[in-house]
Amino acid sequence: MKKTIQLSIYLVAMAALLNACRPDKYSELGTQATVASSLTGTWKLSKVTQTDEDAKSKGFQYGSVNVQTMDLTNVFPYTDFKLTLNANGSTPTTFTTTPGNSPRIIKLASGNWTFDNPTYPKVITMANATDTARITLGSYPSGASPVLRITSERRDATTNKLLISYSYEFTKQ
Amino acid sequence: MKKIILSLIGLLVIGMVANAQVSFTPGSFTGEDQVTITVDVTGTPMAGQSEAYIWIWANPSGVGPGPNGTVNGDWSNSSTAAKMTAAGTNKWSFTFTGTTLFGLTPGDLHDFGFLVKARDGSKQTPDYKPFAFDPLIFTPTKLRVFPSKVGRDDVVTLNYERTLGSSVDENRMTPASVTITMYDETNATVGAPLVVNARSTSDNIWSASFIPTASFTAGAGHKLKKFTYHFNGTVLNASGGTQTATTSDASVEFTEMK
Repeated sequence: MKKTIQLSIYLVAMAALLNACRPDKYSELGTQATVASSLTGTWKLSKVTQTDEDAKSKGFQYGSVNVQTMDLTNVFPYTDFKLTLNANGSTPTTFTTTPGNSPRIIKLASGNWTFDNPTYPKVITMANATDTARITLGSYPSGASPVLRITSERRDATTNKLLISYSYEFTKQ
Repeated sequence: MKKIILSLIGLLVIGMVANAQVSFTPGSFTGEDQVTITVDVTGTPMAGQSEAYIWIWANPSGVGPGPNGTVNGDWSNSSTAAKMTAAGTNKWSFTFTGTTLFGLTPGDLHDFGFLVKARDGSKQTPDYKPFAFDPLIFTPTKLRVFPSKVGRDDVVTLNYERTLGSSVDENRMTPASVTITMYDETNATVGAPLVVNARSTSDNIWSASFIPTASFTAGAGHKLKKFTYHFNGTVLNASGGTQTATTSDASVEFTEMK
C-alpha cells in the first residue's frame, strides 16, 4: 500500500514537471513598425557634441582636459530646438523646425522630407522651394531608446579630410 | 628548471640580436612620418638571396588593430610593392609611412613588426618586432582654439590656460571675457569687436564660445577670413584692489569647409 502511494506521488510529480516544461504561449507580434513611423513626431534637441576629428585621429590626450570632444549642449540654448517630422503611414510628408533661441542646426524652417532607403534609411533629405538639407542618421529611435541621433560632418574643402563632426540627440515629445 | 631558464635567456638574446640587425632613418618617427628600415639578414635563411620582400604588420604588441601592411600580397606571392631595395651585402631597406601602409590613424598605430622573405615564401628571416611609433603629442598653448581648425559656421571655442601665460599678469589674471575682432579677405575689420563672457572650464582654463557667421556679417562681395582674440580680466594690485589686464592677441584663419 505504502509503495502504491509513493508511486502515485511520483507520477503526479512527474506529470507536474512535464506540464511545467511546456513552452509558454507568446502573443502575436503584430505589424512590424517601420523606421519612418518611428521617426515621425516632434523631437526636442537634448544633447549636442562637437568632435575635433583631427585630434581624435591622432589620439591627443591632455590630462583631464578633453581635447577631442566638447559637449555644447549648454554652451548655446540648443535645447530650444524642435524638429517635427510628419508621415502618411510609412511615407514621409512634411517637416517643420522651431529653433527658439537655439542656433539653427537645420537651416530650413519647413518643407518636405524623404529618405534614401525606406527600410534602412541613412540620410534624410529635407527640402523646400529654394533649399535642401541632408542629415545623416546616427541611430534609429526604438521603444527601448526613444532617441533620434543625427550627425553632420565638416570636411576640408580642398583635401576632403574630415576635420569636425557634430552629434545631435533628440528626445521624443 | 635550469635548462628552461637557460632556454628563455637564449631566446631573449636571439630576439635582441635579431632586432639589433635593424636600423631606422630617421631614428625616431611617428605614424605620420616616412621612415626607412634597413635590415641585415646575415645568418638567416635569407642570407645570400638576390632579392627580398618585406612582410609587415601593425601592433604586434597587441594594442589596437593589427592589420597586415597593404603591400604584403600573398605569402606565396608577395606583391611588387613589397620588394625591398638592396642596401649592401645581405642588407635590405624599405621605406614607408605607417598610416598609409596600415590604413590606421596615428592614434591607433602603436608599433609594428616585420620579416624579410623570398617572394614565394620558401625562405624567411625571424620576426623583427616590436618597433614603436612615437605618439603624436598634443602641445598645449596659452591661447588655443577648439576645434583646432574651424570654418565660419562652426562653434568656435577660445581657451586660455593661465599657467602657460608669458607674463606675470597673464599668470595671475582672472579672465572675465574675450574680445574678438573679425577681418575679411581684404584685411578690413568686419563690424565691431565682439565681447563674449568667459567661463571657467577646468583648473586654470577659461573658455568662451561663438559662431562666427552668427555674430559677424561680411560686406557684400566679401567673406570672413580670419579673427584675432584676447582674454580680458583682472589682477590684484599692490594695494589689494583689482586692475584690468589682457592677454596677448592670437590670430585664427578660417578653413574652407564643405
